[in-house]
Amino acid sequence: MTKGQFEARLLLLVSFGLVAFGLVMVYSATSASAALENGDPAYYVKRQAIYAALGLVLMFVFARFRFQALRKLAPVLVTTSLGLLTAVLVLGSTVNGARRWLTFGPAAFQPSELAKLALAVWAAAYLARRRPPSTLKELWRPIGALSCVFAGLLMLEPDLGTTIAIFVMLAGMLLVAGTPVRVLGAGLSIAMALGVAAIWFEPYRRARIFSFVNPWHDAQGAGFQIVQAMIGLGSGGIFGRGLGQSIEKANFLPEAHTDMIFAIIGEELGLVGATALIAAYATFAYAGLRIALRCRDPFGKALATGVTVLVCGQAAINIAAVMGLAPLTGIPLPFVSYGGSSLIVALAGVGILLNIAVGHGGEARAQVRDRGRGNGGARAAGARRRRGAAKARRPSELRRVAGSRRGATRS
Amino acid sequence: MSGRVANRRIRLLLAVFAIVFGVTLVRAVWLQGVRAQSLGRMAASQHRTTVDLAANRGTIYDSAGVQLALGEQAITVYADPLQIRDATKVAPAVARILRLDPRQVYEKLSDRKHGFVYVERKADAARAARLQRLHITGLGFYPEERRFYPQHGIAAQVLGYAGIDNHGLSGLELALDKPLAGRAGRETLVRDPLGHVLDSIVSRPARNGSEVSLTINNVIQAQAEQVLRQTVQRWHAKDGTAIVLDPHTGAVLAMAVAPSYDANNFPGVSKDLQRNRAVTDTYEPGSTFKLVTVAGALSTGLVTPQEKFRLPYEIQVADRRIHDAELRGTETMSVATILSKSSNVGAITLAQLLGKDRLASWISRFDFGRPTGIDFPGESQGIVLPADKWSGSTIGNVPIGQGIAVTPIQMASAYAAIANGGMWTKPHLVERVGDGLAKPVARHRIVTRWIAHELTSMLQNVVLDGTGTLARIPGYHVAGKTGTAAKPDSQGGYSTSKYVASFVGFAPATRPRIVVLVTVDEPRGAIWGGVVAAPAFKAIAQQTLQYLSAPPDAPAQVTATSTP
Repeated sequence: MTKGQFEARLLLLVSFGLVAFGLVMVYSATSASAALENGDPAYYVKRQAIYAALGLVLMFVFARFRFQALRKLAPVLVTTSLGLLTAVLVLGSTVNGARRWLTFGPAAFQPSELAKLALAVWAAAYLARRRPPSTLKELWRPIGALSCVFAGLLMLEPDLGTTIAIFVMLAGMLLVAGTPVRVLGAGLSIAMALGVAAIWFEPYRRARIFSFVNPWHDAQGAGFQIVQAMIGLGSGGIFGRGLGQSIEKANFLPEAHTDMIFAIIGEELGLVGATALIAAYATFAYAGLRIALRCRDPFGKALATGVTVLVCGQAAINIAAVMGLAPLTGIPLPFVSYGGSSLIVALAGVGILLNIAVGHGGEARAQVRDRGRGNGGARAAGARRRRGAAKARRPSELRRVAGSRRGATRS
Repeated sequence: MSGRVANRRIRLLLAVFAIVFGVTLVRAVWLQGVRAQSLGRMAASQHRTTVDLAANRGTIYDSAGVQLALGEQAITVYADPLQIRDATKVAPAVARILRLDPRQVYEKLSDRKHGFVYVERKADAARAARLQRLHITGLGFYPEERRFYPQHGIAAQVLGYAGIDNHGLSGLELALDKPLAGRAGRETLVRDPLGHVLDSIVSRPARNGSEVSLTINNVIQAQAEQVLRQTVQRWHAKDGTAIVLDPHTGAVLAMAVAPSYDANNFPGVSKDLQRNRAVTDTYEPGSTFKLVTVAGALSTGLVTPQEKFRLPYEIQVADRRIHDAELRGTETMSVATILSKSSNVGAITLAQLLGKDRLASWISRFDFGRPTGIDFPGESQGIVLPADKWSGSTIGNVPIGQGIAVTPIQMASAYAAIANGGMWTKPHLVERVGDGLAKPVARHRIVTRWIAHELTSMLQNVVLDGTGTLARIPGYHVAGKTGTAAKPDSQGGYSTSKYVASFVGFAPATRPRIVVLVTVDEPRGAIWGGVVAAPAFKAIAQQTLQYLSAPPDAPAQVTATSTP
């Protein structure tokens, strides 16, 4: 097995599993209402399957495509995203009081999903060539400023969930880049304070978001969704009501097929299903961060971290919110929730991670950028090894070098 | 950026994720393990409702298998007044089809304070279906079972009634409510918040009520009712009862009460008419009760049937003077003649021989003073004074059926015992419930076969040349006894204008098939049992014997009467 193959296979397995499981659960959560609405119980699952197919194509493209090329694309991606986010505010179709979608005939696209990926690429590129920000000022310029522009545009839609996801992702990337925890903490505190303030002055949103603290206080009003989610989870018990047997999905639980799908999973498959799903995301986090760990290219490292934190952070926030541990902010469950843009972007992210994991993320080129592959790789590896060995003060790093293929040939 | 620092931070991130997912896992265990039960209960309370599945009420059949009471498919029509667009237009249409009062319908439909009103419960299925075809917004329909009595007036008081909620309210419908009603099933419905039924779980299927067969025969019953009705009308009487009993089995073949009514109209009929007087009401029997006195005197061996007594017209008992019905001089009468001529003085003389204690015990032996135990609710036990409460004059009126109250069914059963060779048999109306076997009938001997035979011949004399000659039936020997009793008045004495005329007897006397009792309350024009009740007895008994194809036991008489 080539280096990184294990992580790649694990990641592929978990992602495929989640996508397949997501299709089943979307069908379970939507078939009845879809049958009533337009006579086709498979309406939603068909659309989701098409998105999944598109996402898988994109995943394979990104897996083949050298991720380093993305680095040059970073400015383009960011400007495109900003353009689309502005466009959606003007041209977007309003659904549930939010302008999040750009519609092209039968297809609809959420620019905010592209923005997540674009920002990940851009931040990775920036952090790869610069020293990590060591003061709040350095943090503000330019990462903080750009993310606030994104956040501002997103909050105009409004899309609180994506805003939070972006901040969580950037925090993960900054942390890995080596930003002092103090600086990062201060920055995040300021962002959070601003966020809370923004929410606080809109009583409806405040009631809804903070209802997770005590949802039973207003179980028929602000706490309704969380209460219904908890009733769904609880009534599932250990083994669940059985696949397709959820009652909460029948008009009790709002957004049963999108943001609240975890409640339906818990109701139908019980603690067993919920545990398996949490374990799947934990495995994704493990595989993704292992890829980041193994990658020698700072850009790849940061990008792998960003994509992994983006996917698993959203999963954790979504699950926590459904369980009443975190506020409901409208974050979908990656791969599983119904929603095309989210699924396509998540699968594209998996493609990038796969690419970083195998082959094209050769450790040598990470350091000696001008060299091509081929025999140059051996030399570069030697150079890296020397440098690594010289720097290695801890046995763990020595062991890793010794355990590498080239280390083995040497002995 | 430094690879070493980065890798440390990545491991830190990994640890953070481990903790975060660990916390969600703990929360999952808390919600789905620890709190699963209470959350599950909450789910059940908001998702589930339990409804009853109505059980069909059992059909009541007569002894020939004719339906007397059955469950009929009806449709309940209800409305949501808030959805009725124009009550002024809808109300007349609804009223016309359902044949209701348009004003009342309009009142219901325009009552916008309620979201649900019954337009008509258990409406006629065909009419409701016609209304349903109009597709009027705001009207709703659901099927319900309605009790229907296809024979209308037949045995109305015996059957009683099952009300709007399909539960027995009176009569056999009440007595047999448990087996007839069956057991409602239970179904749990899972509903979404809009009320759509997602799933239904029948936790207990409905068990339909048992079918019940009565001993009543609809033909005999109808004939008895018709004769009784005509008799009551002919004599402008208040009311009347008639019982036809099988003396061997205690089976009640007919139990008629006049005036009657259509059983389907039960709710609109006065409580007075609804009573099955044959079982629930008492009357002072008068002379028919002399049977007990004579049976007692014969059984104790004090007298023989042919023993003669010199009897004056009047007799002094304590402070009262009692005389016979018809003025006569002092005569010598045998015990048999005392009964056939219905001599009060003779009966009292025999009773005085017997003494009050023994007479009281014979009254009790004939089952007067306690319910017969017939399977009909609300049976009266009659009014019989115990011996120690008797005044000096009691021995002067109880032997002739005064100062004592009995029910028609008690009297019919007493005569049935004589017809059955001295064996008293408990009367009953219910032949069979469901697939169950007929219960063995309680019986006990009250007089010896010989005494019964002697009494039968005495009772035959009543019909042959005594007070009951109008009860004669061509072709049959008839045994019976007339009764004419003044009704007690409110002053504690006896009315001089209000009487109960009765006749009770059996035929064919040599091989009794039926006992027939007729009582007529307050007849006008004539008061005598032999005049008012005996012809009714004759008509009922004759028709019944014909229906039963009872072979004549007096064919000579047939020839005699049928020869021109």
